Amino acid sequence: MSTSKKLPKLFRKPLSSTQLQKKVLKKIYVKSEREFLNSKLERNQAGNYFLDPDKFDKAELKRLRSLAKSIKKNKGVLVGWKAGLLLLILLVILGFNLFLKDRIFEKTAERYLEQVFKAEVDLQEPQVKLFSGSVSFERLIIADAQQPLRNLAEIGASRLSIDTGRLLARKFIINELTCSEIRFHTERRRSGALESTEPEKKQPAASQAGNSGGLAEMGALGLQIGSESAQSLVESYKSSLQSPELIESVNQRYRESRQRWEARSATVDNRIQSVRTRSENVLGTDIDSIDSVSKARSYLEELQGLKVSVRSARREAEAAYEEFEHDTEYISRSRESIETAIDSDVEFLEEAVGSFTSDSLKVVTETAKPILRARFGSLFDYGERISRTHRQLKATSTQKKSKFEDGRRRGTLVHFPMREYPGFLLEHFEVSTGAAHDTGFSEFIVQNITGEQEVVGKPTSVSFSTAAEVQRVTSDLLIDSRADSEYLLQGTTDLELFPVEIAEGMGSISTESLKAQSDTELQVFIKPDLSGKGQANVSLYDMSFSFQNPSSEFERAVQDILGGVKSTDLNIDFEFSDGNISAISVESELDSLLSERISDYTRQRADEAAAQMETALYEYVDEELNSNEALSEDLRGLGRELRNDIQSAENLEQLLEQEQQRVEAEIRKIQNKVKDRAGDALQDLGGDLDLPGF
Amino acid sequence: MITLLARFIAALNANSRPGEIGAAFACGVLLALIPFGNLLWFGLFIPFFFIKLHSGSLILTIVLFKLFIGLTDPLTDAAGLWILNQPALEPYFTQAVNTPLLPLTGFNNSLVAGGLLIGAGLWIPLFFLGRTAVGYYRTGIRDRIAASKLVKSFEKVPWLRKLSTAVRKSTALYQGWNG
Repeated sequence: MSTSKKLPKLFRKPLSSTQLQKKVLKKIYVKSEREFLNSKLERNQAGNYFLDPDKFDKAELKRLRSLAKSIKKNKGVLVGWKAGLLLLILLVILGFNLFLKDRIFEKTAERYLEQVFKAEVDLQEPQVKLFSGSVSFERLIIADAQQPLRNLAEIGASRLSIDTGRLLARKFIINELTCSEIRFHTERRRSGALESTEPEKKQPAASQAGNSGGLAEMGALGLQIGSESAQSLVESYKSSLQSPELIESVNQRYRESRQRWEARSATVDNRIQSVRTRSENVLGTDIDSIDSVSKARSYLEELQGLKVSVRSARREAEAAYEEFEHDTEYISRSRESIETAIDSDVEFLEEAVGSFTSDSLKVVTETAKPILRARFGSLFDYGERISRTHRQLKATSTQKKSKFEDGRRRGTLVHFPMREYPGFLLEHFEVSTGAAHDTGFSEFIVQNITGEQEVVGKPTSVSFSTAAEVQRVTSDLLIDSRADSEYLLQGTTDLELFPVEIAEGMGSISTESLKAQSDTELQVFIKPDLSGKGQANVSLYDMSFSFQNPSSEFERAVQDILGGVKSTDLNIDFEFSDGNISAISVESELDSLLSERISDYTRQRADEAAAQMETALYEYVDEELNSNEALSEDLRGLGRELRNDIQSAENLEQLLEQEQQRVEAEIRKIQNKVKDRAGDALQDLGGDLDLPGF
Repeated sequence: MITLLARFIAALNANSRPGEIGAAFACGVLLALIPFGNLLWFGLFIPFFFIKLHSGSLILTIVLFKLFIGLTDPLTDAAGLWILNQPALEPYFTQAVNTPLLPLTGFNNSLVAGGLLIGAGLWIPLFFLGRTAVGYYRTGIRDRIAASKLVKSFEKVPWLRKLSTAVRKSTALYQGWNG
């Protein structure tokens, strides 16, 4: 019995021919070993193979054991213990994920929140997905510590999802951050007071140092480290900036200039004031009082002297101004250099934001050291030592890496289009308050919040909606700061069932006020230069006018018309630039309705007036026609008389003509007679004188 | 290195499956073809750790082939460029480049892609070649080598004696050494 124990387990029991072949011989790959085993095998009565331990010496037994071991090793494809270890790890991970992870999160979160709010916290159906980076829950109820039968807040289905893959590339992408149906001060069925609240109140000091103090203390410690680190971080960046120092030096120069020019300016001002006073005195002299040539000359000289002084003061002021201009030329140059420095600082900070995480971690670590050492003593030193060792190992491994790296084997990198991601992106943010499909429900959704819209390729959209008892407001905004976008902001807002009351500016239509219900749709488009346009469509219904006492028929008519109008639509188009409305046009049904009705009214009134006027005209015309007839007749008589006179005149004229002709003829006659007599006399004279030719 | 060599020789002579050595040889060539220092290399190496491969043979193959693998780089590079420039595969490569962690495999390096392509293509032939070679060694060559005068004289060289001692420690099966 004792020798049988020495045989390996594989050979303790007899094996059938098939078993021997399958379990043993098939797994022996060395011929000598197979021959060794075959030489030792025996068959029993049943025909099974077995090994007799008595026929093995010590060396053979050892060889058999090695053989059995190697046979066992040659079984299967997987390494048993390694596969088992892997399986165990997988099972632990699976078990943790399935059964523990969510519970641990639930309990931890509840405990932490209970310590924060000092009241019962109930986290329902939490779900943590480590690899996909999401945390969600169906409901979170936080009781009110002051009023245990009320809840401080009740939050519905909420979810936070982070792109963990992008975190490796230092990109913080929040896929989703939703918090729905937040309600405050809701009723509770049972008390939300914590059982441990009373003892904590009794022993505040103990609780600080004890159980509940742990987290609070860690929180306070974190705050202390955070605050001091932030200061260090800001200081570290501050020392790298150019602009603060430049601004300080420029400001110093400004101060010096200001001091110098304050004195100079006072001097020049005094001089001008003195000259002005003298001038006023001189010009105050009464010229009538000058009664001698000498006085006049003296006055003239005084004036000339004053003129010289004034000119001199002016020159002095001009010189001072010129000097001031020259001296302060640097101001514009300084501003330019400050702007350049600020630009380069901004660029630096933008770059620094990329390395902010690492820098801030470094600074936080450095600042935290003395605080942590004071708090944790030797424990911190041990931790630091481990950390240092880790860093050294890491550095060593990095150095060694080059040994194993295929340094000479470079290969060729083939580049494929890579999607760019911004440093920060919140893809979907949603908050809602109140219960869905109920009054008082408000919802606020923002998508694609980022500082790098060009990289994301999408604008930021904001959507807001709220519903009161009957009213509803819906608003959608698109903020697009991309270079090629036409509008920086596009927005649409819908207001439903809003009461309107207009009491001003309606006097022109003899109306005191207008009350109505309204639906409004407002669209606004704002360009990057803050100019833009907009459109508002307002539907008014259930309109009710309150009128003034009409002072005219027209006003009464307008009131009649408006009183019959119960609904109308207003279309308002407007444009604006630099924040001011530059153009506005309003079109409405009411306009056309009013103009149509007023047109009808005026047409009717005009017709009536026309008829009245026609009657009056006819009355007037009859009388006038009669007098006209009489006058006409008189005139005709006068005409006739005139014609008679004319005729008479004509006649006289003819007579006069004739007489004239006659007189003329007579005159000619007499003239001829005279001529003849003269000729004769001349002839006689010539003859008497014995003149030739006669 | 001596221990590694001893483990390899021991495996050749011990009752280990020829397939284990053949697979270790094929995997070793694959890992030697792929440049070290990327996620793909470790991604292949770690599963090999769980499979019954002869680790000594695997590491020895890697080390030995790494010494000369540079000679095959022009071919590997060409194969890598060929596969990476296949228009039909471009969408998949683009998707892979944009998938977290996958760029760390360096798959877009021609030597990595070519090494994987050639190594995977040669794996089955190399496996059978290795297995056959082990079988042939065990049946045909081993005894002759062990009995040769050369080996006997090598036994007298100190470092070779150290090697044979290491082999003996690794396996007690082979009875040929030292007569």
